[in-house]
Amino acid sequence: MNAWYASTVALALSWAGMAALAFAMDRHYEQLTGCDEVPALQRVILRSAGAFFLVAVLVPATLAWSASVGVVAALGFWSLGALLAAAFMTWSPHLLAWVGASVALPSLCAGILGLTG
Amino acid sequence: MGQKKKALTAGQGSFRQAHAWLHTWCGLWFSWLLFAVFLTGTLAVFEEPITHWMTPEHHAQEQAAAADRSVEPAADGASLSQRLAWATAYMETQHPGAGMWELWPADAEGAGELRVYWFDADGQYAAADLDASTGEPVIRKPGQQARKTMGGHHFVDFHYELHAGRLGLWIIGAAAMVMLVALVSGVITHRRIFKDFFTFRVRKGQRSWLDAHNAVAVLTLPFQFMIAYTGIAISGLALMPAGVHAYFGTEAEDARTFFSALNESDKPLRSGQSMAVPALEPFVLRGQALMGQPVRAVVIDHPGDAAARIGVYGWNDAVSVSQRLSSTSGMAMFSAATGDVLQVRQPGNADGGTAMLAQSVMAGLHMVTFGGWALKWVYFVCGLAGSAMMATGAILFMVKRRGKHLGEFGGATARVYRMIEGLNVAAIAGLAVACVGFLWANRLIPAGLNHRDDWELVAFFAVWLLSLLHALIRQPSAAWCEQLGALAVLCLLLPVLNLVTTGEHLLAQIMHADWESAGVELFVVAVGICALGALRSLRQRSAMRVPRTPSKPSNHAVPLPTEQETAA
Amino acid sequence: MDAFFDKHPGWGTASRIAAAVLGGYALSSAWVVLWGAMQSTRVEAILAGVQTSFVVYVVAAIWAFSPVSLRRVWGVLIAAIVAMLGSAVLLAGWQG
Repeated sequence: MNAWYASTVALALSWAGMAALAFAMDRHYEQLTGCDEVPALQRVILRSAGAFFLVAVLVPATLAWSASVGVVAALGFWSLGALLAAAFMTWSPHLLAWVGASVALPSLCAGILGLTG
Repeated sequence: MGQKKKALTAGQGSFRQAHAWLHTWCGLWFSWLLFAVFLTGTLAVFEEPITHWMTPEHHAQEQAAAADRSVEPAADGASLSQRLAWATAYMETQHPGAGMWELWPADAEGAGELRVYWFDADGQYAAADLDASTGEPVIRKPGQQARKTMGGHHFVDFHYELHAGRLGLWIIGAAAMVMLVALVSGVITHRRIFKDFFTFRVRKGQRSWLDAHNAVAVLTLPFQFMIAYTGIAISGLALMPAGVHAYFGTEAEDARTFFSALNESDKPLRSGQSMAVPALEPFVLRGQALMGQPVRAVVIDHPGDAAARIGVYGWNDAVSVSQRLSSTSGMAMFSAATGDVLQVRQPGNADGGTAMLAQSVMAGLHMVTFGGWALKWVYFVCGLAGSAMMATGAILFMVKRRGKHLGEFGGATARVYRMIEGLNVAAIAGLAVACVGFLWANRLIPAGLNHRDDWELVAFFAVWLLSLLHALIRQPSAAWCEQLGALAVLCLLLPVLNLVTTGEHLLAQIMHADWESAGVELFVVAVGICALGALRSLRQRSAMRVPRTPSKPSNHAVPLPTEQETAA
Repeated sequence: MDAFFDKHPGWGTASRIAAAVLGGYALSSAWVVLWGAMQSTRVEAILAGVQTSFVVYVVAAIWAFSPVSLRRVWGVLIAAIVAMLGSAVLLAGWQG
C-alpha cells in the first residue's frame, strides 16, 4: 500500500473514531443534540464504533510500513485524529458529526480496497 | 477572624496539590529553553529541505545532473573496481601508516563521488575527495561551490547542544529530564484527563489557555514522552557515565576502552607482520551479495598488517529504511589475509545484543529515520503541538497572575512577573523571528564572504538578543504586538526576498517540482498568516478592554436610584 | 527539624530540589553500577542500565516533591542508593 494512500485512510479512520468517542461523552453529545445525557444504546454504539475505527488505523499503517513502524505510525495518527476532532468540536460539533459519519464508511472501504488491491 | 490560608510550597498539601506546585514551577523555569529546543527540533525534521533552500546555487546544478542522468544513465565516473583501485592506491601512497582506511567508492547506483577518510596524526577524522573519472585528488574551484552555510543543520545543532558542545549537551539533557518530570506531574495534576479530553473552550481567557495547554499536551502525550526519553537516551552514556567510571575508570583512555569494547568487541590486534592490502573488488562483491545492498563504504582496520580486516557497509534504500525503526545498514566483515567471513549484519540489526539494538531503535524513533515523508509530517505536527504545549503553559502562568497577584516572591513579585512577561515574548515570538531571520541572513549575507556560515549564526543570535531587549523595554502587550508584527512581515516577504536576491520565485519552484524549496517558502508564508491572525486577535482583545478611571464616573454606569424613585 | 523548615520554607524547597537533582542523579548512577555488576559482559549491561536509569531519575524527582517529610525523602533515597551499591559490590565481587 502506498504511503500517502495509507496515511490518508489512517487519518480519516482516526478522525472518525475519535469523533465517535467524543460524542459518546455527555458534554459533547449535549453540544450536538441539546440532550444532557447520552442514551445508553447510543453510547454503546458510539463507543464500539470509535474503538473499532481506532483499532482499524493499524491496518493501513502496518500494510504501508512494517509491523514495528506501523504501530508507531498508528500512535501518531491517533494523536492527529484527536487533535482534529477536538478542533472541530470547538468550532462546529455538527460539522464534526457530518465529517465523522461521512468519512467513516468510505475510509473503511478504501482500507479494504487497499488490502485486496 | 479565621486563619489566613497559607500558600502551599514544595511538598505540601495532597499528592495532587504537591505535584501541581512541581508542574507549575519546573515547567515555568524551563519552558523558554524547552520551547526553543522543541521548535528547532521540529524544524530539524526538515533539515534537508531547509539546507536545499539555503544553497540556491545547487539547484541549477542538481537539475542539470538529474537531467543528464536520465539521458545517459551510467555516464558519471569510472567503474566500481576502478574507483576501489584508485582509492586504495591513493591511501597507500599518501597515508600508508594510518590505522584505519574508510573508502566511499560510489553512491547506490555505482556513480557519484569518490571519497576517502582516515584518522590523522591527532586522531581526528580527515577526508579527501578524489575525482571519480581520474582518481586524482579534487581541487575545488571556489566558483563551483554553493554558498557556505550550515543550512538546516543549524537547527539540529542548536536543538541538541545549543552550538555549545559538551556543556550545551548537558544543559539540554537536564532540560529534557525536567520535561519528563513536568509531563509526569502534569498527568498527576490533571484531574479530569478523560472528561476534558476533547474540551477546548474559546474566548474564556485563562480557561481557554488552560484548555489549549491540556489539549495539545494530552492528545499528543505518547509522542511527548517518547521524544523526550529517546532524546535523553541517545546521549545517555555521556550524561550518565557512572557505569563507565566504576568499571573502566575515569580517564579519557578508559572511555575509549569502553567504547571499543562496546562497538568493536571482536576487532583483532595488530600482528606486526606486514601484508599489502588485497584487491578490494572481490570482497565488495561478496559483501554486497551477503547483505543484499550496494556498497556504501569499505572500512579497513590495520591496513598493511596481516591481521587487517575489511568491512563492507551497504546503502540503505529509501523504501526499506522507511520500514525499519533501526536505520543501521547491512555489513559484512572479512579477514583480509584469509578471506573468511567474520561477521554479517543484516540491515536494521545491531552489532551486539538487545541493548545495542534498543539504542539504535531509540535513535531511529527520535530522528524519524523511518516511514518516509508521511511520518516526517506526523512528527512535524506533533512537534509543533509540543512547542505549543510549552508556549501555552508559559503564557497561562502570566494570564492567571495578571488578574490576581499571587505574591510568590514576596516584595519582588511584581518585578519577577515583569521579567517573566518579557521572557515569554522573547522566547516565543522572538525565537520565531530569529529563525526566519536566519533565512533572511542566508540571502542577505554575500555568497563569497569568508566565514559567512558563522555570520548567519551571529545574525540568528543577534536577532534573538534584540528581541529580548525589546521585550524587556517595551510593555508586554506592545512587545507581543510588535514582535508578532515583525514575524508576519519577515515571513510574508520571504518569497519576495528570494526573488530579489536569487531570481527564483515560488511559482517557478512549484513548476519545476522543487517541493523542498516550495515547501519551505509555503510553510513560512503560513506562519506569517498565523502571526497576522494572532496579532488581530490581540488587537481585538485589547480594544474590548475599556480602561477604567476610578476618579471619573463611567458614562455607562447605571445611575443610583434617587430617594424619590425608590419610594414610589 | 520540621519546625525549622516550616519557618524557612525556602530551605525546604532547596532541600527537595537537591534531593531531586543530586539525589536522583546519585540514585540513577547507582542503578547503572548495579546493572553493570549483573553481567560479566559489562559493556552491554552498562548500556542497558543507562537506558533504564532515566526512569529511576524521574521517579526519584517525583518522590522528592511528594508530600512526605524531608527526613523521609532523604532517608528513602539514601537507603536505596546504599542498597544498590552494596548489591553491586557483592555481585561484582562474586563474579570476580
